[in-house]
Amino acid sequence: MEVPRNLKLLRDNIVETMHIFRLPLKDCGSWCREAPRETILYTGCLNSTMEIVLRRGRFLDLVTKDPDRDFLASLASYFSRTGPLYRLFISVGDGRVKELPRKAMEILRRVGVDIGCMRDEPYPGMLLYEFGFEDEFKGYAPKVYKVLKDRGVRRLVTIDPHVYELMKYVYPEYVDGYDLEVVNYIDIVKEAISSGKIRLEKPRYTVTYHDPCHYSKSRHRRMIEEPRDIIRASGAEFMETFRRGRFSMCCGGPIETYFSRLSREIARRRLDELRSTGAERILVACPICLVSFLSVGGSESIDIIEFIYENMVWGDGLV
Amino acid sequence: MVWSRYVDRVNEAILDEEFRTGVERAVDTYEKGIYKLLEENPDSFKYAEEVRRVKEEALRNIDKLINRLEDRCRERGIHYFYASTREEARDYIRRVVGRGKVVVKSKSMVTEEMDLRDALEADENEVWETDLGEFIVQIAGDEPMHIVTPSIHYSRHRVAKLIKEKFGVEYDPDDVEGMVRFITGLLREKYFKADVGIVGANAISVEEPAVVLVHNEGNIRMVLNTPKKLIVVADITKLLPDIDSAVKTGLTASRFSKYLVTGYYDIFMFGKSSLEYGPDEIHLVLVDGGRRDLINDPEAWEASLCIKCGACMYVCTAYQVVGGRFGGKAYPSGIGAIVSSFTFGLEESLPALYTCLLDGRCFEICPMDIDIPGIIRLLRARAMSKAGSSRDRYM
Repeated sequence: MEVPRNLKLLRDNIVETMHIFRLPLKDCGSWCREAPRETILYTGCLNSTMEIVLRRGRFLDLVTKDPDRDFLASLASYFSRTGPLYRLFISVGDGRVKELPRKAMEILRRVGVDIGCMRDEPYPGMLLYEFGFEDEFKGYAPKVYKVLKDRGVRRLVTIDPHVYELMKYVYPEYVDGYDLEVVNYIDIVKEAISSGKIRLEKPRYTVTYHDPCHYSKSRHRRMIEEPRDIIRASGAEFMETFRRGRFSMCCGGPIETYFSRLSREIARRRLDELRSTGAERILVACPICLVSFLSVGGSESIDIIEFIYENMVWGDGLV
Repeated sequence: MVWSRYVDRVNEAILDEEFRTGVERAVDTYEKGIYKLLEENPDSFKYAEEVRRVKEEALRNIDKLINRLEDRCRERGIHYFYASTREEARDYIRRVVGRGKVVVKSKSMVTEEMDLRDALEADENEVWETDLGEFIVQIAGDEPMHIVTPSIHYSRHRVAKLIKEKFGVEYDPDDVEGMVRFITGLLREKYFKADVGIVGANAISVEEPAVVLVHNEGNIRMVLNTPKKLIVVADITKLLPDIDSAVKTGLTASRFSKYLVTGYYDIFMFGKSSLEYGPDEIHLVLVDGGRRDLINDPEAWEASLCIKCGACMYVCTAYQVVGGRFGGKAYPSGIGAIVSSFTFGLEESLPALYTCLLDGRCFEICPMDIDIPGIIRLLRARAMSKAGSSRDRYM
């Protein structure tokens, strides 16, 4: 059976190093300044990984027009096998995607959540699960669970749809005696707004919102209105697209690994639709969506975390 | 090889502006049209639920139904042929058609799957696709991009160019009506010249042996009635116990193709009367071609409930960009990738299985509630398990 090299590399990297790009785990939580506690903010290394994906994409854009060709696959695999070279990519620039969890931390602490984090948080193996490495995932998930348990973690706060769904609904099927509580920050923020703990100001810009598939079309728990409630609570002028809610559309991100051109075209198409609303900012709720849009020039895309961070009234009240 | 060929064809479509415009315009109309129809007719999903129950029951009893159909056909003087493989089906049809004949065809994806047109042409027959879209695809030497609307990737400019190239007649690309009239006029002659008609099926009723056909152009009615010899080709998932359920299946399929009522619904009863205008000789070719494995598969069987409405394709994120380049032969997008994993094998279908974004727009719209992304994930796992795990490599 012919399996693309990129897929195999991904699998081997994850299984052997717990990191998609063979980097040291402490690169996953570069945003983390706190010690682990019972409750941690857990990104599953997703933000750090997506930062690399964004930068690698920009690099490939510079050197080729046809990123799906073989020689590039070998180039990519060269990078993958020698993981630390990726550090070159992440050592420059503002690292916005990578630093998103920092902002989430600040928000959650402001809300009053007693929260820590793990600098060396492991990758939870989402791509093993989605790309069909079922046998590997069966062995991998309990390993990740053990790492978290050994640090005394009891409760995870997630800030993206993939890690949330995986840790809350998929892991229990693969890990015996799984007892981690998984909470989504959107629920926490929404609750804090309605109880008056925090307040959002009306932003200077108009917004639209791109539903991430694993919220809007999740087969476990659908989160369609919750993020919108937060947006509405700010009083923002809010425009919707046709493809929203349960009929929302993917950003193209999931196939970036081996169909990069198609992935980009899908992102471009969705970006066009979002822009057709005339909104000045495109709100996303997933770092994969964010990077998909940023990769095709959608610089007006911001994560809801950034939206909250920017428009929250920090001064009044107490923690 | 399988992968790079597939990726090339996907990327080729991305760069082809005319192709993209055609696909995008069509999916936009259909996507919005289907949602609108479903919103205005909220009973549609309930209606579909009923069909799903009957279809589930039919699949559970598929062997019984097949045997019963054979008996019923024989009682009615219908030539019945069961083909385990698509090659067997193709060879049987070649024998029935013979050489040097004129053949008119309706659009049928199962015949597409077996390259029937090419095979019959190689036997020096003159074969005409009578579905407008399929006709365009035929004269262009191209392949269908959708099971309901095969020439979705053709703009009117491309069609005008094609007609000029192939028939030497010039049309203003804006004169769509004129072009349609030209093609139907050309085909009208062929119906009456034809020795053999070949049709597919939306559903086959077993107890009152009949084929149900839903169409929008009236062409199928001509194919059914004009030639003296008629061949009906259907895959085994099209079998339904009785005429009620067969008709309901057809009606549901048309709803989810955006038509509350389509132009034509034909119920063609096998050997009902002397049929003065109908065919003298009727053949029913039932094709397995890997579908029994699908029906019996504990993880993927749901895919055999598909009633071929095509709604999942119109709303598919990847399909909206590259059309039928995503999916299996003759059967695009996620559902096509699943079915092809059984009809053409897992290895051949692997790139299609990995094109899927698992975003689940298809699952939301599917009238049969087939968990397309869920099944795709499981088939990926099956393929990777066969390909060997990393542990083997690092031992």
